[in-house]
Amino acid sequence: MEPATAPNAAGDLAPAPAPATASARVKRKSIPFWRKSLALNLGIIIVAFVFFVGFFPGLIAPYNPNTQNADLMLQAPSAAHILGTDNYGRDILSRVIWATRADLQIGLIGTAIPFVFGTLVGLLAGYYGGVIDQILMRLVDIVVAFPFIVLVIAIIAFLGPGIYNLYMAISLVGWVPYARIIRGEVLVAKNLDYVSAARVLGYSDWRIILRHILPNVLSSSIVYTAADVVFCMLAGASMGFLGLGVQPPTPEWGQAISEGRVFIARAWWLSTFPGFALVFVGTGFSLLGDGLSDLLRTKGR
Amino acid sequence: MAVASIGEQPLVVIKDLYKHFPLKQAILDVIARKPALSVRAVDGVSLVIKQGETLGLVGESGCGKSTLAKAILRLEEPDKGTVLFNGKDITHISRQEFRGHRRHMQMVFQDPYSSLNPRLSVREMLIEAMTVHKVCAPKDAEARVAELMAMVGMNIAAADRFPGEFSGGQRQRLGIARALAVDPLFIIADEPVSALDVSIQAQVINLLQDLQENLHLTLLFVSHDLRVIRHITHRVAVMYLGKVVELAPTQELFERPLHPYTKVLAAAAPVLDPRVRHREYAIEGEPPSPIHIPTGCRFHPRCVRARDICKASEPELQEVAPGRTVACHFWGQ
Repeated sequence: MEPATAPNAAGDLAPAPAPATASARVKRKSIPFWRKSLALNLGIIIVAFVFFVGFFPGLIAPYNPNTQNADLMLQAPSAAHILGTDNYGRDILSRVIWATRADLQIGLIGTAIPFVFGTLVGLLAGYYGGVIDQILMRLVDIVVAFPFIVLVIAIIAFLGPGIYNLYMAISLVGWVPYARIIRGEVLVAKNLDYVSAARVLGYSDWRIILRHILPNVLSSSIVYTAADVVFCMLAGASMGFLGLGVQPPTPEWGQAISEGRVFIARAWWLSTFPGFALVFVGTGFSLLGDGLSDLLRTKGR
Repeated sequence: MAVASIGEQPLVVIKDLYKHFPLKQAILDVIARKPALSVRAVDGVSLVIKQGETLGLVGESGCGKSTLAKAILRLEEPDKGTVLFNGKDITHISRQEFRGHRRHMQMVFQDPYSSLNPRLSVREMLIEAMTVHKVCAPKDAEARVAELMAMVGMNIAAADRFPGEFSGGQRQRLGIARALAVDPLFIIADEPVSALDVSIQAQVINLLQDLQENLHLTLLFVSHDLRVIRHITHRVAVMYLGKVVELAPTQELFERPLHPYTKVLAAAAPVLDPRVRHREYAIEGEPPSPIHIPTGCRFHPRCVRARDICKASEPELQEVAPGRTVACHFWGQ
């Protein structure tokens, strides 16, 4: 909180101190949010770029990602193929760009479904407590007892490989952190006086939960979603690498890294560039998450 | 609807109300069959609140005032006992059924910083209360928001702002407006000014007093501040360790306190008169823990007049003069 207000605290000294709180509030508002946090700026730029690439890969990619060319196998990066070609002669830049779509989709869907489901579980467990809380939290303990990736692999092994089963597996495991975060916040919020006031006013439980508690407990789990998008993309890429996720020929980074593994001594570019793409996107979402948490923390209540 | 003057009609009748909070026991104590301990916050309170009056509830911190207030409105479910509202039992009906009655009894909370939902604007907050209970036709809602804001002395222009933009005193006014939005008969004000600056306290107190008179509200005013109690209430109930020890009209209570605890309280209140310097006596010791309540009269360890009988038997509340009840073996001395 302090570092963020430091620059305008200095600025406050210049004008005659009018009512202190009022001027501080005006000052704080007048600083646009994008000047407060470098992490947030970078994060937004990178994520916006990734979204653009993910939605319109055709506009950017120089070649069709699936066009094979036996004459151009394993070409090193050159002017015609900036990132080189793979063992089927496909342009790697185009495949990396088209893969953004699959990986972004895994990241977003793999975050959105658990976010909704976990939030619901957390709200119910925290608000009602008692037996409902015990049952739901024991379920959480069971899921937490297994490492994330191991559980995802186990579920996919059971359901069979493929993108929809991947979503299913991530959803079955990924709701747990949201349930825990939300439950903790609800336990605090439900004892605040405005919730008591809502009960005294005779509001229904659903109205209290959705209108009076939910909006006040969401901020930390929204911050968590930024990190979760990265987790899910990495999980998706890992499954691709193991051949359990997105199936060829649809381009996907993890699967591309895996395919290039065989040629790593002769043609390093096959695995390296999809790897860089993953790091780049991961960094973008992490920065966005950090920046968001800074922003929500300074904003306060 | 209500009577203009203070009627003798009871609006809220509290009969022998109990609320204990059990303490967590260590597993070894459970095995050893040690008796389970509990905090006896409200330990058998009977009280009648008459229509149109302001009843003060006063006592030290931790004596169970707030718990009693919450138990009446079932924010804490009472363990035992009954609350009658307008003659109807509201403790032994389902929560669902009780929700329909809630609009008649409202509460103003102590901490104005946590009592307003930070994500709702003032207008949204008031309209929500009105629409849930269908207090007025939807087309009249806007007019009623303006009316409520005027009632609590706020500018209607403030209706689109959020709680974070208001000061403590303003927030407390908004809390009062929210309570009034559903047109209640009975309001419990739980230490409504103790979190405010002294300069603001008087404004909010006067506002509550005016509203009580103009709207013929019945008010239960919980406070530890005797000056405020003396100013605003018609009758006062003094609570000590979960029980009412004295009940009297305000004027009489302050002029001639009967229970030794009331005497100490009244003497301990700061007097705003520079000529009055001495104090008769100060209370000794901390209040005993509400977990281990003393036998006999619960006040005897701190009482200057305590005798053997006080340790042995607990005095009942007895009516000693019209409208005055006290629980003390030696009230006449």
